[in-house]
Amino acid sequence: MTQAATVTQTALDDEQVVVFDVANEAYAVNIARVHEIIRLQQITVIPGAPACVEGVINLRGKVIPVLDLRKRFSLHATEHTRASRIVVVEISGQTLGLVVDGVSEVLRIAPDRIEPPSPLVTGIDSRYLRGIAKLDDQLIVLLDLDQVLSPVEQQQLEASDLR
Amino acid sequence: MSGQPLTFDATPDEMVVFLSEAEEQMELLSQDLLRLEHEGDTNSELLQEIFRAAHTLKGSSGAIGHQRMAHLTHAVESVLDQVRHHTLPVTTPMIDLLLQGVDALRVLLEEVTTLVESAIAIDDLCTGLNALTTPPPVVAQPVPGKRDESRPYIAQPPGAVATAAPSAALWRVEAQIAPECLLPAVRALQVLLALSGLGTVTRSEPTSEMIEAGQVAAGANVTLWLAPHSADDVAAQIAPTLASVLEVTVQAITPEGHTVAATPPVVPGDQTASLWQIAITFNARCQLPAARALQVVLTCATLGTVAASQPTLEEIEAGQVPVDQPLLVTVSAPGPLDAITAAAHAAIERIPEVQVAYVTPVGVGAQLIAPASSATPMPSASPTPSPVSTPLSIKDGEGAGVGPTPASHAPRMVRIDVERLDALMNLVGELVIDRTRLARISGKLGQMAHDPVLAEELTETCRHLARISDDLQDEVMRSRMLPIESVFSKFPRLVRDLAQKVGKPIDFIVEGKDTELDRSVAEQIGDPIIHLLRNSIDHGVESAERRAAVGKAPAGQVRLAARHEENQIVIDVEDDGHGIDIEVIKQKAVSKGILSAEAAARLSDREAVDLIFASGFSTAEQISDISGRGVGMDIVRTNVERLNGSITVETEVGQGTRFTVRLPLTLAIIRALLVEVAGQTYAIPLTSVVEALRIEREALRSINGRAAIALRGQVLPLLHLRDVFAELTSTGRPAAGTGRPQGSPTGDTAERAARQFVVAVRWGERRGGLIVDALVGEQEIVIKPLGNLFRSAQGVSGGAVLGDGQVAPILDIATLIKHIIATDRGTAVSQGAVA
Repeated sequence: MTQAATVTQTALDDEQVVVFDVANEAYAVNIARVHEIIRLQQITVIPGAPACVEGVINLRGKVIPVLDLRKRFSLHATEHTRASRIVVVEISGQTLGLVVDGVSEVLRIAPDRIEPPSPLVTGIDSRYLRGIAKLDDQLIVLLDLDQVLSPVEQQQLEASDLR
Repeated sequence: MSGQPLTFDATPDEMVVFLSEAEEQMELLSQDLLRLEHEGDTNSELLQEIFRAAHTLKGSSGAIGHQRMAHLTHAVESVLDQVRHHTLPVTTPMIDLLLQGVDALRVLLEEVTTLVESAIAIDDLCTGLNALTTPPPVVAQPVPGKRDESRPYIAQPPGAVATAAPSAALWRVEAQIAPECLLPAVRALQVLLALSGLGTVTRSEPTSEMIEAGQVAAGANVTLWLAPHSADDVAAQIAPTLASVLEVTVQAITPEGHTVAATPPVVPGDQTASLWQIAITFNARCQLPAARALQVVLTCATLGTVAASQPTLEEIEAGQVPVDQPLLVTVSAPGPLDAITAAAHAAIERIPEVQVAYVTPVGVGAQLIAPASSATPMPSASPTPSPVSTPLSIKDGEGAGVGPTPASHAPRMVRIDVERLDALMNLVGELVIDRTRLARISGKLGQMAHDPVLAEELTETCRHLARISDDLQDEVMRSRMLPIESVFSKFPRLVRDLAQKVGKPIDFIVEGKDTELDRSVAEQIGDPIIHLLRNSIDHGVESAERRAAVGKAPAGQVRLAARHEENQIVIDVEDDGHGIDIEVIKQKAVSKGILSAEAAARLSDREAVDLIFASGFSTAEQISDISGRGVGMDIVRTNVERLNGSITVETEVGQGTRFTVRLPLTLAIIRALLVEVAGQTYAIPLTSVVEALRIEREALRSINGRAAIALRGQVLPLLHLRDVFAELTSTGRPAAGTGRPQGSPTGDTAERAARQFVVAVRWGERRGGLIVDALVGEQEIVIKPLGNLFRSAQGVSGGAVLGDGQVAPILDIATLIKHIIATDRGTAVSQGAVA
């Protein structure tokens, strides 16, 4: 009985995350930040857009920018596949799409499983990371969504005037 | 004093109401003050209106506890009160002071939002205003004009009515403040004021002191006793007068008192029987109002004795029953209200197309006194002569706007939050997109139809849907439309002040105030017009002396006119000044280094005049030393063009200048030409498109290393969009991005080389050509902002969602043309400068 109570208590502290693949690596973001996950659709290129911005898509009548995480992490770009998805998240009040190679699962991660980020573990710049979750069979990189945009992009996003 | 935090005695909801109404009253005040200056104090309607605005403002600011505002409005009101009674003549200094008062009130109003006391000092202003007023005349006034706050509205104690207005009857007016009303005291005050325009309010419940102290609850009844100025048909005037007061329902207007000479003798009647008035409304679509009315009256006869009806029985039998006015039947019947009401509902609502709006007691038998009768006793009435009355009473029943006069149709208007309209517009935008998608799917299905009948049905449905959504779009657009008056209304004041400042008399003419335009455009168009007006007054119109010397009327004429032309709104700003001297313009442009002397000499007159729109042509310091124009005209042009509009100028030396601004009616949906570049669709606003043409490769010329074609004798510099975009998008991926099938026929290099499409575009007077791979077609597009992330994408102004759900970037023609011109002159180093 006591065990069940403990489990429940732990479950409350657990972080619920959406796990997805980028270049054969497992990444995760907190589920609260994820609006939805959609199939890849035609992305419209906007000439002159910042480099990591893939373009825009039409999300039920709303035009939202889409970022390619491979580009962001300076990983080599590949053609998108059938498994590719767009994870729709919110950063600084703006709805954004993140192109990922595939979405695998939704997990609960206990806080004691999360360690501070180490650039040695992953190939990507540690400033995008919030921590590494060590599970029994895999390592999951927890993304810091607020760092996914560069400071300049962040500023642009937060600027109040609309273009 | 200033900087102190303020608190007001109102909830946030009340504040919103207070703010929007106070703004309205101030707007009304400043407009009316200008009219007053113009028309003098002969228009009594205007005098009443302006006074009422000031008084309402005073009452409402007092009610929320804004002391300084109440104090200042009181001073303004006192002056206006004396003007209203013709004891104070209208003078320009007085109008000046009053306008200053309104300006100060606007500042004070802001305190309500900021909750911090502003630095503005009102004491001098109040002193100045008070100095204008003379002691009030001894005549009893319905409304106190002087500072004495404690003086009640009641001129006489109720008993002394006869002395107050010996020849007039006394009317009892009952009104109910709406239960959801946020500013009940203000409404009560408005009722009081409105009625005091008709006569003397001898008494009120609650008293005027209580009303001014804010002691009126929402939902409360306000009863006033009115001694009219004149005896003729006051009852008919009361209702329409009160109809203009929001959130107030008139319950009953009944004659009272014994002072009317023509009072009929008291009719002995059944002392125990009460008199009830039953109001019945017709359904708006009622086909046979007269027949229904007759049924109603006959049915009422089963409830008791029908004493009177309005329309009268003769009128009903003659078919004179207006469907939009309630039928009032006065019935004499014993019993409590509940019982009568229930009986009336039960009996009358069996009749189709009518409802009982309300049942109200109007008196007890013989105690009801009425002036000369216009009612007819029913044939079936009891042999005892019934008391007769012409009670007039209105109340909005189920159908809004049911009332005895057209004036009470006002409640048909509903205030809607602008955000809600915007949301509605967005939804309609989406519907338009889906409609186009659906039509496309239906087209595809039709081609592979296994069941032609079903396919046909689908096509038919799609067509119907398209029609409906078109209509819906029109309606929603229309609901967002405002008369341009909302923009123009502040200009007379601005022109007046400006004219005074530069010392030129100006005759300002405004035309087409009713022209409607979308709210989004209305919000943006004010500044450019102010610029143009300022420019006309400052630089267009000559001084009075100079005008006299050339034989013109001393007052310069500035005309502001709005009208619709096709799908555009056209605004003219015209003056009868000295026009633009082309030579002066050219010299100035050369001295500013905008172009060389040789280039200037080659310019046509039209091109030369357009130089005033060139950036850097003039700055504020130089305005006064040129005889021409140009207070930041480039900014005006840029702002207008940002709204997908255009501006042109026509001038004749010595005769005047006319600026014409053309704007789309809405900013949300535009027509666009769709083109294809590198496998992706782009949209070009149709307002910028001059023509689209197909050219053979041989027609291409190279001028200074830039592609160009000869188009009707003129050289059209070209921009290869594929190259420009490829350069902008050179980031490792194929330019067309993600998985879009490459190698569409038009994308084929060989074919592209042989034959190309050029879209000739225009920005202001500048022209250029955009080389595209294919022309896709023309379509109505819904403009969506791309968001801040794309601020660096300069060739693109927004995104359009197309019929197939795809997003097409909307090309920013202004930037692209600038780019063409810049590279043409060799000042831009590379095409990358666009990015």
